[in-house]
Amino acid sequence: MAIEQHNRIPGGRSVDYGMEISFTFNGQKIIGYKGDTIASALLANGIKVVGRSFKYGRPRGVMTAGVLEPNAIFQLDSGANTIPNVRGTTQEIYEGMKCTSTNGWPSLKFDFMGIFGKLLGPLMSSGFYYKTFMFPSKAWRLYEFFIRKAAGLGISPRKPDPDIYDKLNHHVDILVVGAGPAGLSAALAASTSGARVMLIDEQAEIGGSLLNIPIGQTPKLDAWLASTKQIMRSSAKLQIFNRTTVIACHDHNFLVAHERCSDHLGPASTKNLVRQRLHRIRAGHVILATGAHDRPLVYSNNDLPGCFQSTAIETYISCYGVVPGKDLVLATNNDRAYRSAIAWHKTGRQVKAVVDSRINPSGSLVQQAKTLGIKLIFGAAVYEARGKGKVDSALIGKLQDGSSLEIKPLCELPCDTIATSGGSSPVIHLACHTGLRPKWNEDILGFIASNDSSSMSIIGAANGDALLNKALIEGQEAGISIAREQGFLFTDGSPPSLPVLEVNDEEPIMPLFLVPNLQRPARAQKQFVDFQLDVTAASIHQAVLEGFESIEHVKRYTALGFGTDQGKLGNINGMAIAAQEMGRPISDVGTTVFRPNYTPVSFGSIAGRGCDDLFEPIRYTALHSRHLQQGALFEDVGQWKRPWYYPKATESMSQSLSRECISVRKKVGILDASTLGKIDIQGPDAREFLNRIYTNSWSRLPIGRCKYGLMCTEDGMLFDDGVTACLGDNHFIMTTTTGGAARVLDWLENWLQTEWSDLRVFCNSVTDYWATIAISGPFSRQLLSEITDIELDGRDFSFMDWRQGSVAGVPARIFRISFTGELSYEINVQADYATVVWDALMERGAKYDICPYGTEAMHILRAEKGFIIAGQDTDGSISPIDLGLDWAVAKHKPFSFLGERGMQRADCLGTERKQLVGLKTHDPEIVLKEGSQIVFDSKQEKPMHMVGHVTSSYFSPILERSIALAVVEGGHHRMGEKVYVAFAEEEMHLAEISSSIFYDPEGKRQDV
Amino acid sequence: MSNKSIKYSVMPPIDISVARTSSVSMCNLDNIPVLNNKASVELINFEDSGCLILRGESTADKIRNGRHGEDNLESGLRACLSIDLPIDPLTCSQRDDFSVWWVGPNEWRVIGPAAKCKDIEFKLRRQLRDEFAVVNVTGGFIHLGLRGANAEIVIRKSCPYNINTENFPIGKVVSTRFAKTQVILKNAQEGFEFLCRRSYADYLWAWLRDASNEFGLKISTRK
Repeated sequence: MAIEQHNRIPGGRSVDYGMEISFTFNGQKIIGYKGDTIASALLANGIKVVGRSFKYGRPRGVMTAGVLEPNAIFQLDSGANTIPNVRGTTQEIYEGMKCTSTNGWPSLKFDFMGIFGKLLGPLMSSGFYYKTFMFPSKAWRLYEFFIRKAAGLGISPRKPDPDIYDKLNHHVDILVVGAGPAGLSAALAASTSGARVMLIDEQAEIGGSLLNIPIGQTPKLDAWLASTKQIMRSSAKLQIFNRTTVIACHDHNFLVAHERCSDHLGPASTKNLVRQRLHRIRAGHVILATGAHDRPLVYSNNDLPGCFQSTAIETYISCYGVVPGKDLVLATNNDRAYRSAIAWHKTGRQVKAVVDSRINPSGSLVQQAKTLGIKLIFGAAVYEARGKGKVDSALIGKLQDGSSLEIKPLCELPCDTIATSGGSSPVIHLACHTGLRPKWNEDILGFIASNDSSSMSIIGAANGDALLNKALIEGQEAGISIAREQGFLFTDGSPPSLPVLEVNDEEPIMPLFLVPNLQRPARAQKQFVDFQLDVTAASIHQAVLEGFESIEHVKRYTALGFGTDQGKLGNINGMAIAAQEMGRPISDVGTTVFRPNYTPVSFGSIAGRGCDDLFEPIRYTALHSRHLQQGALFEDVGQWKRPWYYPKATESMSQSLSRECISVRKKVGILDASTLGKIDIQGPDAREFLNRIYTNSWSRLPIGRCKYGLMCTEDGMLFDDGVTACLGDNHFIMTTTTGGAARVLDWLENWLQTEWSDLRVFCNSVTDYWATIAISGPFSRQLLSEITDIELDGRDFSFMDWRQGSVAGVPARIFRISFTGELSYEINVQADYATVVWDALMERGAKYDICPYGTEAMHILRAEKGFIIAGQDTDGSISPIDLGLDWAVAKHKPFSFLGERGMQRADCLGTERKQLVGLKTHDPEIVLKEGSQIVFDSKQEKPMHMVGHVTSSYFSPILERSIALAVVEGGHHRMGEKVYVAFAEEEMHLAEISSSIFYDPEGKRQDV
Repeated sequence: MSNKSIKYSVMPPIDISVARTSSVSMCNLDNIPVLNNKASVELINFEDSGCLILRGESTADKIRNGRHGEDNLESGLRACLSIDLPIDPLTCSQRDDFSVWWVGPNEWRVIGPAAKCKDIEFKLRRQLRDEFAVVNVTGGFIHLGLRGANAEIVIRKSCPYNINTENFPIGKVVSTRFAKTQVILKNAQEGFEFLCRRSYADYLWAWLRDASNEFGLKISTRK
């Protein structure tokens, strides 16, 4: 049986009384109305305790009605859809919602920490955790388990998030943040100018603080709000986002907003809706109309359920039709807070007293309260709340000016609700994200941002002026002038008129933050400043006593503002208390730094759509479907998927590799080499360009021939290699490594554009255009001859030649080059015809037992021949000479080449540099680990002198032994010498330095 | 072969009877659910589009850079395709089934039916001789279209470029980041068009499909 909504009254602006919604809170069924937040529904049903506090386990109730809420922090739903740390004051209820308190282990009613906190509370001063749990250091894990459990922030879902998240980019002329009086009238005015305007507000509907005015109280305002909604809905130039919070304001007017698209409808995944969307907005001009947050006063036991921030009372009554108690005591230092007492009084419930710290205030709201017969106590304050688990009474004392402000007990008023207002703090977070300095303003007793930007304006309460009328007018004026500045001239419209509202006379606010107590803070009942992390006035005093002078240090020592509310409710009070204790003005102490994000954001919305298959682009070759058919396993090479090896039914990896390698050596293998970078180079100076880029000479390469080239950076170290073919006098095609393709093209463009702009050369990537199929093995010529019109005889088409013709009816360029050491042909065809050629080769090749081989077999085959892989056998510190490739370095080119000077450095000419060699293990079965360190003497003392490392290592099926490539100091003149290769497990393996060419050293097999 | 002196190598045309494979290789084109009947996004695969890269300096640039040569890119292109070279940055020009997209100060894409591209490549090669580069990359690119009431929002999900009509009017062409890849994006008369490298086609296709899903997606193939 659900409990009745006995705190509900008619007239709530935001709720639909016709639509009941039921949900559960800690297992109890609760009925609320559509439009209710969790907090308003709980308060309507008289539920006071919503959680327990972080450190002391004290019972806590709802305090605010917005993003500042420190106590009503909940866990929603369960399983994959569970959401931790939801603010009950902003989350709307939906049918079937399951809501539980996050704080209060093991349960809300019996709280272990409550007892623990009560017993040990006095010992748990600031820095308690730092000081207490340091020893023994190994026990921290145990402490942490209990601290985390007791601290009770929410539980992250353990299952993958089923929801859809999204991002959207916007470019607008004017962005207005906040749809309160100032923001609304600014957006409305600007949108009639022809400018593209965007208005963002965190609430479910527009109006901001206007919604706190009870419906019917100011009919002119209600009418204006209704017509504004109408105009805005029909405006083509104005976009409105509700339930959207601007979370970050970056340089150059780039702002990020977080929209909760369907959180108010329940788990979105079942409905195929986007749950949350991140908006990335670039605005010509930003208008910040972010309003102000009401600041509570700090007094003893100010955390008892029933203690509220004053504007929250207005919001609950006016927006939700909820009066959160029976009798109210309001404590204030300003005129505006009287509105909540007046609103309360008008609901028919009792206002026990308004306690004003000022002496004889007489503003119009004060007069109004007096006329209504509300009891007013001047020159006094509430210094302590009394009650067990909830507010039962308020202790009121007379304020007296001595050497400092003091309190003298006056009376105790029974009540169940205490609301306080200590003034309001402009919301300057966004303004300060870009580095604007917060400046203390004595008139309003708050920080405002000192704005000097010409492309950002701060208006309304956010800039210190919270008078309703003024905010409306200021907003309209800003909207008009900013639109004009942006070049929009209101040719098709003019701003609609504003309602004329009665003006309240206000008298100045009196500075009051921490209400004086009979005891000093350390002795008094706890006076909370930051409710979420249980930071009290006493903790701030202690921090100052212990010598912390910077507010940033005080914050970190006490954990002030560390919670998920980021100190929105307590920070300014904390700073004021620190300033008072230090005897310095608040302006001097300043604020901590405001950083993005303004409110917590889910990881999902940061990830957006970029997860699972869309996390990173996957590049496929045109032959991917064929590899899948052959059962290939894939390897990531850059963003490419390349076939790694092709295991048959029950084969292990080594069995598969052995079969693939032997097939190539004895019959014929087929490889998809399409991912190799290919750059088409055209222009009259193409040949000279290659001479400068490569270390070897290209002056005499005739049309129809290919050449292996080495590319070095200026320091003479190898960075990429590949075969380049001469296609015409002015036309070459260069191949690069798969991973180096983009880098090489950038490198070529860089030199062409910045240093050699006189060369008439154009480089274009054709990697995606050409599919490359390599067939390799003794039968490759016979196979190819069946489907090509090109004469393949070795005398006409010799090693390192290329020919043009047709293969399987498709025009092709065939390069007779080999990365395996076998007779090989690399067939290049237009990518969208590659499957035709592959299929023909597989079909005709069946009689030769043609075998597709992957990158792993390719690595083994090339290592048997001592062919390097740039990036595996080199690391940016290896020159061509170190690799034994002196033959590919032309010493006398007319223009020199990149890396020539670098190679001539004394260090590069030494004979004891690390040089590429082969390694044969003493035990042919041992396959060395790549990266293993090499030493000459295994008996030397540690740390040993390391002389090199293994770069590539495999078991060679054809040689039936392990082979490795390595770089070893002076390796080239140590042929046959013994070295030791260290494994991590203290093992040492004996190996012999050999030539890096293990198989067919004369190169007969590829040149037949 | 080596005793013949040729300056540039051009591949012969492909027999039209040989079967082509789509650039979108992994996604099953026919098997995509249409979420509701009111599909407000249409994703089009212009299957038969061919593409040439055209490189060189416009006459104005040539003069500015102090280069001299007889060839004239503008007149060469006009002679082959009766199209004016778009010299202004980020523009394109169009005639019949061919369009030329500006990509960089010395770079253009010529888009047209694949079957005709080979012929145009030969013609351009003959016209332009030495100081220009022509590269046929038909089959190395995917040409997609995105239309419908919500096409714009799908692009704004994917791309940080300002596509408001003031900044991205019909006929404008930009090379930009799109999701986690790059595209050349054009505001065409009937919607948006993209050129993207073939190897990224599957990723782009999957991305667009996912981003369009909430609006109802229709998929079609055009010649």
